[in-house]
Parts: sequence; C-alpha cells; structure tokens
Amino acid sequence: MMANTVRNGDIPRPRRILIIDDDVPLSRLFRLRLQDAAGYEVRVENSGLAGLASVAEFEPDLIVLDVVMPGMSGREVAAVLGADPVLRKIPILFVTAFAPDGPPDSWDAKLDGHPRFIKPFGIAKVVAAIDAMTAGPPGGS
Amino acid sequence: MSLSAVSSTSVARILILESRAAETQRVESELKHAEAGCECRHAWTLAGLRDVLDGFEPDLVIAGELPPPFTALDALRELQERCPAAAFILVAGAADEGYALACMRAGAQEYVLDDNVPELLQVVRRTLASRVTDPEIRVVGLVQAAKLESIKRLAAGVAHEVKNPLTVVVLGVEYLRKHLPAGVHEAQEVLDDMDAAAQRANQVIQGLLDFSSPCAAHREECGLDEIIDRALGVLERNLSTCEIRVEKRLPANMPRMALDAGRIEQAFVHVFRNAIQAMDRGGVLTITAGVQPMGPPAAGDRSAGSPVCEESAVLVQIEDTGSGIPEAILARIFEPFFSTQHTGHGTGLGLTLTKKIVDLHGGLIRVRNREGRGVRVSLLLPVGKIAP
Repeated sequence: MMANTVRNGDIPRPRRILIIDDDVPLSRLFRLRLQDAAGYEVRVENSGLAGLASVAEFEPDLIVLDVVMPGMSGREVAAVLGADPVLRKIPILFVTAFAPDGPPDSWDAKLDGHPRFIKPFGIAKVVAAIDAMTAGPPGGS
Repeated sequence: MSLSAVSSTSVARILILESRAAETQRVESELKHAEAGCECRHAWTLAGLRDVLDGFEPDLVIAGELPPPFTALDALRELQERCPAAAFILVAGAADEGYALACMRAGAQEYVLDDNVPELLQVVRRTLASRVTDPEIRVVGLVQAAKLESIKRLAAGVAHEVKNPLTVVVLGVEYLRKHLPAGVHEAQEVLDDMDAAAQRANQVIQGLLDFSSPCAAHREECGLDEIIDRALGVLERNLSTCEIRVEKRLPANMPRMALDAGRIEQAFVHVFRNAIQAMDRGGVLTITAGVQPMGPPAAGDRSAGSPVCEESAVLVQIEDTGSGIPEAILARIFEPFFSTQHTGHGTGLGLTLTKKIVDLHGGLIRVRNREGRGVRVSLLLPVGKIAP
C-alpha cells in the first residue's frame, strides 16, 4: 500500500505532516508555524473522517491528531489506523486540551500508546517531538 | 454556630484527657463558660479512660499532657475502638507539631498548639458544629457537595473550551514575532505582553482543571531540597521585587523521597506565593525541615531519635513575616475559590490544590498564625517507599 510506495528515487523531500483538528483557526496557525519553523509540508483536515481519507493520498510521515472532535474522535481515528498493518506504522502525536489523568505535561505522557501534548504549546516543543519521532530520511524506510 | 445550638437536643459531652489538675479545671470551666453547659469528664491514664467510657459516650475528646507511657495516640486508638464517633482534638506543645500531625494522620480531627485556650474553644466549636446530625443541616451539606460537583464539571468544560483559543493566541504571537519587520520594538513588546497574558490565563485554566479532575500521584525518587529550590526559582522575580530574604535551613541528611516531584513543586509554589503576597513590603521567608517518625513514637520514648524507615516523614515548615491571617478566614482557607487577593492575583484555588496534592501523598497540611507575626505552614510528607 501507499506507505510502501517507492518514492521518487533518492530525491529528498520535506517531511509531510497531516494535522487533524476540528478547530479551524488553530489548525491553520499550526500549519503556518510548522511550515515556518521546520519547513515541513503540512496538510490540514478538520474532521476525523476527512483525515482518514487524506492519509492514503497525502502519505504523511506523521499525523498530529486532536483528541476531542465531533463525530469521529482522535482516539477512534488512531484505532482505525492502528488496525491497518501498513498505516499503523505512521507515528501519531496526540494534541489535547484536556488530560484528565496523568501528569499535566511531560515528555513521556502517553495516550493509547502515542505521545500526547497538552494545549497550549509553543511550536519548538512540537517540532522537537516530530523530529524525534520521524528520525531518518523523510518517507521512512 | 454556638455550642448551645449544636446541642439543642442534647448537651455536648466532652472528655478531657490531662494529667495536670489545674489545666483540666481551667479548660473545663472555660468550656462550660463558653455559651452553654456541657457535660465533662476527665481521665489521665488508660485504665481511667476505659472506666469513663464504660458509662459515658463522649462527642469530643481533648487530649493534653499525659503521663508516660500513656500517649495521646494510645488514647486515640482506644477511642477508635470503643467510641469511633467521638472527635479527637490534641493540645500539643509548639515543638510537638510533627507529633500532632502524626496524630491527625492516625485519625485526630484537629490540634491546638501551646495551650491556647481561645483557639481551643474555637476549634471545639467548629468540630462540634461539623458533627451536627440535624437532618436539615445534613441536607445543606449535600446540596453544597452537589453544587461543588457542578462547579467542577463546569470548570472542566470551560477550561477545555478555552485551551483551543489560547493555543491560537500562543501560536499567533509566535507567528507575528517572526514575521514582524525588525526594529519595531514596541510591537515586539506588545507581543511579549500578549504571550505572558496567555501563559497567565493558561495557569488559571490549568488550576481549574487540576482542581476538577481526579488525579493520581506519579511517584518517583527525588530530593525535597531540589524541589524546594525549583519552586523558589519559579518565584525568583517576585521574591526580589518584594525584597524578601529566603532562609532555607534543611538538614544535610535529608532522605530521598518517593514523591510526585512536579505536583509537590506546584504545592510549594502555591505556599510560597501566598507568603510573598503577604510580605509585599519585604520580609523573611524561612523554610525548615526535619525527619520524623510518621506513626506513633515508642511509648515514653518521644525524645529518642527514631531510625529513618518507610514510616518516616519529613516535616517542612514555611514561615513568613507578613500580616498573618484573620482567625475568621483561617477556617476557610482550603475552600475552593476562596481568595483574599485582589483580582488578577489569585484564583482562590492555590491552597485547595496544595491540600489536594498533599492528601494525594498521604500527608498533612496545617496553616497557623505564628505568635507575634506572620503565618506558619506545616507540611508533613511521608518519605514513601522507594522502589529498589
């Protein structure tokens, strides 16, 4: 499937980040900041379903996923991806406004096995996490 | 509420445990004088206590000085077995605050320091009032608990809704800062102010979330000394602006502890911030600590140093030289949203959260006015089990 698709030879390309968050102004600024700060290629989808539909075509190196969304929640999106033998390899970074359990913020805080950050956050922290989670050449091996 | 109102159907029954006859008489006459007749009994030995309990069911027990080997904790245990409904108030010397806190942990309701009779009377009144079984008052308590639950749900909902817009502000400020032409200093300052404001708003929101969510302690091995230093570091600017001198006196042999370092730091920040606000024209913030046994000391052996073990605790005392807390307010300081600060200086959640964090660690917190001047906050934190 798509994650195994042969890339355009060895030509390096920027990392592709897919943001799935229902908050439109937030995800717009988030995209601008990620492009600004790290030169990523960023796409935004504002619902879980649209996000899932985008994965196949956009082939992201990492998905930034909001947790609480109307309709399909971020955790449901992650569960669908996790059930696919290929898509499950795409790292997920949860971002959430509310973490009822666990420490308020720390590097090892996890939600369903994926790292999670609590809003609000500065972009440097997110970029560092994305770089750590997508270590290696863009597009994966 | 007066004693007479509390005991409208029956007279309050008070048992005084005290070996000094004059002290017993003084307390008893003050109690009887304070608004209403109450029925008093006394004892100063375990055998005497057992005799009294054969024919007398106290609502409240006041434990003062007792002859060794009989201790207040022995009395507390006997009462918990024979008469579990009785409230227990300890009167202890100032040097015995750690022991008093250990008694509280064992189930005592309150303690009073230094034979302070007016304070004792207040505590007696408060304790009896909180034990009223009048159905009407019980309903009021339930309604208040239900209200608090609604407030918690509301707080969590609001906090969640506000965090997304706050993220837009934080990221937006970052974006503008980068794209603003160089040399526009005033605009950069405006952005700095906006950033600081967003962070402050986030602190308030985070406080609401911490208050409204059940939380668990994530314990790890850490040193209290470092945690206190980090908390002081957070408030460094406030300390220097208010010209406050910090005197930290921690013994060199402090044990490593199993604590949720982040939350304990947060607790210290709240306590220090209150102290700083009470000394906005300068003063001294004194932090002392010592190890002490968490449970009861060996009978008649309170002075001998006990070895540090799992049941040890650290007593941290934080003293300021500010204006103190009016007695009427002292009873309410742990209530959520109760604040004496001006708008913008406090959410009224600082001490509520501090208590929640301390409770989470099985510890205790007490806030008292110091004799003379200022406030002393005593925190008793169990050392905890450190995983090998």
